[in-house]
Amino acid sequence: MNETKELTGRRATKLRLRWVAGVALVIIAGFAAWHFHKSKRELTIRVGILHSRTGAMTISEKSMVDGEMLAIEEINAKGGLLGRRIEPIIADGKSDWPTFAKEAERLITQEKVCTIFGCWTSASRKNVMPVVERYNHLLIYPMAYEGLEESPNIIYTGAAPNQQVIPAVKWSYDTIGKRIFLVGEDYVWPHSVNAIIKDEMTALGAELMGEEYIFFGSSDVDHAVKKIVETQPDVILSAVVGDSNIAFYKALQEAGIKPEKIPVVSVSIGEDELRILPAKEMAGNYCAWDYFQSIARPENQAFVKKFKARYGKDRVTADVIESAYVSVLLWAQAVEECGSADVHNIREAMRGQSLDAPEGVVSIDPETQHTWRSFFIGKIRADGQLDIVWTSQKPIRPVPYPISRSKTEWDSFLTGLYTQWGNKWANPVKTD
Amino acid sequence: MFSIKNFMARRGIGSRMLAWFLAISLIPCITLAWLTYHLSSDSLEHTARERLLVIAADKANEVETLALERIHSVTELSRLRTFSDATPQFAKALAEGGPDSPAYKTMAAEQAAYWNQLSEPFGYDNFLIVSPSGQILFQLKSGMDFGTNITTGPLKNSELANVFDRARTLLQSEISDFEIYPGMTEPTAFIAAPLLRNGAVVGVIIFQLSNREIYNVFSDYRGLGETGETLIAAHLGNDAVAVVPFRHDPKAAFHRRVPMGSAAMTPLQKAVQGMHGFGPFVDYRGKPVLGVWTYLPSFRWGMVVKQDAIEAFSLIHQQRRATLLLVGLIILPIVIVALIVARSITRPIRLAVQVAEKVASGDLNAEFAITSRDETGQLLSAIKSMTADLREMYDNMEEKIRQRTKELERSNEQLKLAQEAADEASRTKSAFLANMSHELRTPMNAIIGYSEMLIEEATDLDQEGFIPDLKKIHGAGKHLLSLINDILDLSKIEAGKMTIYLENFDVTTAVNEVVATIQPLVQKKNNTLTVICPPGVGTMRADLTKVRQTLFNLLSNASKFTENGELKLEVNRTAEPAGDWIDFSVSDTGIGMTPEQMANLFQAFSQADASTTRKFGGTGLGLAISRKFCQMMGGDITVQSESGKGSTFTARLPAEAHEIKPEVAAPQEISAASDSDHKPLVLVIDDDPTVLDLMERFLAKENFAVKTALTGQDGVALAKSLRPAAITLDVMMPGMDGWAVMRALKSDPVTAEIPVILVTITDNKEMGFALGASDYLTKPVDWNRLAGLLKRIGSAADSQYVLVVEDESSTREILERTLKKAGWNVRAAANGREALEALRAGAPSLVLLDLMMPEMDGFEFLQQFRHNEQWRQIPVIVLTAKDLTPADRERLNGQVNDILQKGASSREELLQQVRSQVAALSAKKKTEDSHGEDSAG
Repeated sequence: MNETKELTGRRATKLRLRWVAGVALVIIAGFAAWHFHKSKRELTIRVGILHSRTGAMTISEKSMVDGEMLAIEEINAKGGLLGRRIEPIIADGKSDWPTFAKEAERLITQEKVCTIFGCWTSASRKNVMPVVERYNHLLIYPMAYEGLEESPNIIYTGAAPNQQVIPAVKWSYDTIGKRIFLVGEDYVWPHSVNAIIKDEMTALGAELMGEEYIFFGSSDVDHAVKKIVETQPDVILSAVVGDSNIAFYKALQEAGIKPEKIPVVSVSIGEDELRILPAKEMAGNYCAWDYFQSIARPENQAFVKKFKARYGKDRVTADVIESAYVSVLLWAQAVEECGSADVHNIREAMRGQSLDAPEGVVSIDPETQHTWRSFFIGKIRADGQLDIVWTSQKPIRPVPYPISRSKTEWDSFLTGLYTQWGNKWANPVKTD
Repeated sequence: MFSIKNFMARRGIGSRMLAWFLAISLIPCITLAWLTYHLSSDSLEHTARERLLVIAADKANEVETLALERIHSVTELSRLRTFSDATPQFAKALAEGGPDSPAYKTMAAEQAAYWNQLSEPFGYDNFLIVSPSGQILFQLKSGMDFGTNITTGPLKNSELANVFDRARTLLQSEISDFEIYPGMTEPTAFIAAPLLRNGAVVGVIIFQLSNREIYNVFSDYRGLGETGETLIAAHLGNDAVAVVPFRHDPKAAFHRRVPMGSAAMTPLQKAVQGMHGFGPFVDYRGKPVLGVWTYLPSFRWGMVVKQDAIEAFSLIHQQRRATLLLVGLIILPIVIVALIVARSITRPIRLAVQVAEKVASGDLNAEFAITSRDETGQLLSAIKSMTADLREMYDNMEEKIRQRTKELERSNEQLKLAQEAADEASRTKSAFLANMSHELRTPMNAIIGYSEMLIEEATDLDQEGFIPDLKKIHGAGKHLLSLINDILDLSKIEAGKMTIYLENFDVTTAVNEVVATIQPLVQKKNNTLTVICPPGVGTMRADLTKVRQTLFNLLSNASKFTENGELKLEVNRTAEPAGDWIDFSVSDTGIGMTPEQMANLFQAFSQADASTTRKFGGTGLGLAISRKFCQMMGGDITVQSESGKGSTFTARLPAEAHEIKPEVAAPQEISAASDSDHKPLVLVIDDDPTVLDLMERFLAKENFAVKTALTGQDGVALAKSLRPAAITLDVMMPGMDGWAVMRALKSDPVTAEIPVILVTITDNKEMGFALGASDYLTKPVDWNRLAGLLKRIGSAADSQYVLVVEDESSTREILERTLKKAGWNVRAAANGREALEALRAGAPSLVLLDLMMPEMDGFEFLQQFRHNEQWRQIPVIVLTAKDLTPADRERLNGQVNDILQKGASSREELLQQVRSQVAALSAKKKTEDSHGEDSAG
């Protein structure tokens, strides 16, 4: 009798213990689930990749996406940032500038990204700028551009005019000749570039032989080439973009304009474009960029190797790819340094970041939010690569507003273009 | 595995409590301390890092801002018309008269005061105006020899030339890197801006910047404690070269240099290469430091802001000491308190344990004081009262136990007596039953035999007057015999001693035999019997004798209770999944039964009505016995009846019967037979110890338990006490020989059922013959059958005689007389020995042999008889009053032509049976004759 009582007592104690253990387990499991849920929400650092995946700019911008993704994958492979994986949200600007603005807004408000890497054309950037400014967000823009802009919400990692266009003019003037012909696509970038070039030419005392524009995406280059043939300049400075170049260079060749005599110095084509363009026929002409695949630095060779390993042996690196790649690395460094994935913290930390990039040291100027870059002139080879013929020796401080005009003057120049084109950043109609 | 549970269980409560106390208090305490320490050291480390980062950022910002401010200021100055206006004038004056011309000098003197005013507040050391071609047009201070042309002169590869070129061709105001120029002790930098007139470059203004302001930034050690410093290096040539004095090395500037591209880069080298970072490292002094490294783009400098780790982490070290001290201080009081509490609890418990141990060892008078009032105090007082109770109980208990023991002894004694009585009764009953067969049948044999003979003699002597009386005696004798047989059968069934002997037989033949036997009885009451037995009914395996008896009983019952009616025997074979069944239905048109009567029908000693016995005769046991028989074979008897309209009895038996042990409670002696150790026990009786040994080994190997006996007496005694499953028996033994043992065994009811295997190692063949019997007859002897047999056997030996071996004189006399009357020569012997003597006169043609005899019994006689070659072929008919066991029959099987069932209820029935058997025998004899004479029997 006593034994049974004792047994039941013991059993009751055991049951109670189990009950307590069960409750404890449930509580612990609840905590774990809550924690897991919470940490899962913050498991990744979301960034927007905003480029044209469809439309005319697809091929060009794809390279930029490749550069950005290579860096992201590299960082993730090393364990991510702050112990979290970077989750790229790839959006499609569809080569359409309002779509860029819409997608930027979606990335910010819906996808909750902490930074957007994106845009190629100035037109798309000009459309995205008001969005990132409205949301006090951050766009990292890895494309060389015309400058004349300083947004607190944009970090410009591409070349400013004084890092590409102006040295190109200086080099052409110093090396080739004073009689310069300007040709470009009919939208904001070539117009701005040419305005800067003209200022520079004035300062140097160069002679403007002509200034022609090709309608955006058009192959109607005959008029420009005719003018070139007529004027017979020493050098042609080209801001012709994309496929128009095929027609342009072909027409030049057909018109008997040879690089040995009248070389073209392009500020818009690089190795990537030369994969599609007839490089053989273009050989001997020049390109001006802040990076070439042929830069003989171990840092660059490692980068080229990585890129080819990831995207294929036939692929080449170019300024835009390197800029895109370096942009992500600079951003990652900023995230690590501020220890946060908050857009405001990142933006602050971005300023003053620097690293040993494939081209050399790059650093972000805290004042202008532009980037210190190096400058190179390359001569096109038949294989589509470039022989570096001149370099700036050391990184150039970015000056978005060339000192030839005051900031106000430059701003009104741009406003003029904008209103002239019916509140658009590209000329909607053929000028001639 | 070392188990904490075991450890805890082995230790005392005190140490367990101490362990738990410490675990509960110390683990959280230490965990908390550890966590707090780590968290705060993490945060302190974080703070230290943040502090350094902020300082580094501030310094970088300061330097960059300084550079930018200067650049902006120079840019703004360049926009002043004064410069752009003055430049061509200087150029003109210089071109016309040279630097020493009064025009130039006047101009320079005019401008100098103004430009001095402009540059002084900015802290510029010098100011130059340079023409686009590089010619120095104006120089504010003449302390430094720049030559006449920057781009072609001695400074053409200097930072000055570089910054001039940028300003001129890139239209960019820029600051140069710091460099030591010829004639200077301190490094200096230049800021250049283009002078534009109508967009064209007309000249470049260059301001010389002293290093003081910038160096002041780096020598500002605020927030860096006593060991913190800022290191600055530039990338010059292939080296990272220190460009400022270090706090701990004032001569470092332009002296300390590290080659770039070495495998393990110092943070300073990293910074020079544009890298950012933070972390602990070992500095140029070999001291562990905590530092931040960063890149200063304006001068392409690398900057490291660092502090000695000891100082940076001094708070962490302090905290660690404090935490350890705190934990140490907490542990001590906890241990002391835990010890005190544990002791205060365990002391009374230990006291209680001591008391309990004393009580357990029997000392119920243990005294102790209760000191506490808590649970342990309660425990002690409970033990105290328990001890008192125990003491009281203990006193009472002894008396009670004494009483109980006495009672128990008494009842044990009674039980023992009762057991003995019961055993005795059981023994007596068993002995009685066994003896009954012999003792009751033997006198009945005489009565029936003599009365029959008297009837025949009275007929011969024409004394007809005696015949009715003699017939009455004869009839009464027969009735009494059948009663005795029935009662014995029933007793055996109820004692569980009735055995089943299964054999295959033809159903039709068996039915015909029974019908032939019953026919007179049927006719006596003027009934007709219809037999429906389809030829396809085939054979069955059952106990033929019992089937016959059952059918006979059912038919005789039907005849008994029917007059002028119709009887019907219907045999059917029905197939069922478990096997075939044979149904024997006996229906009559007799008096029938009421349901109440049917209920008691199968009860022993009961008939349909008490009056029935008087009216119809019979023992009333027939149905009960028949039903038991059927049940033993796996079947049953059912009845359907209606009072006044007749009854139908159906005996339903399986075509393949398996013996079913009756449900009667088996007497103890049977169940105890061999189950003691689950091995069947075999008793080996032999006088030769070697044989015993051999047998024992052999049987043990075959998984038998073995007991041995050296003499017959021992063997019999052991058999009685052990009741083995089987006995092996040596026939030739001194003293009590095998046959005597056999007799003793078979005559004792306790051992009669034990199968006995006769073993003789010397001559198996001879012994087999000795056991062989040509036939046997049961007593009371069926004279007609005997005569038939004799006629058959003796037909070929007229000249010879029949040897009658029978110890009982009356039986012997009847046999003699019967045989003589049948025309046989007869010699009689009272036992085996006499028989052997008689044989010497000549071989008989037949031997009638009783098995149980004094001096030399039938078995022994047979053995010796068969031993003689010339007698081997002589048929022997065994007469026995004893029921043969299945083992006996098995032994005799093959040697007999048929087995006659004793105990037929009347002479008519018996005669009928014998007639049919004799017919079968002679038919068989005929066929055997055609095959040969050796199996003459």
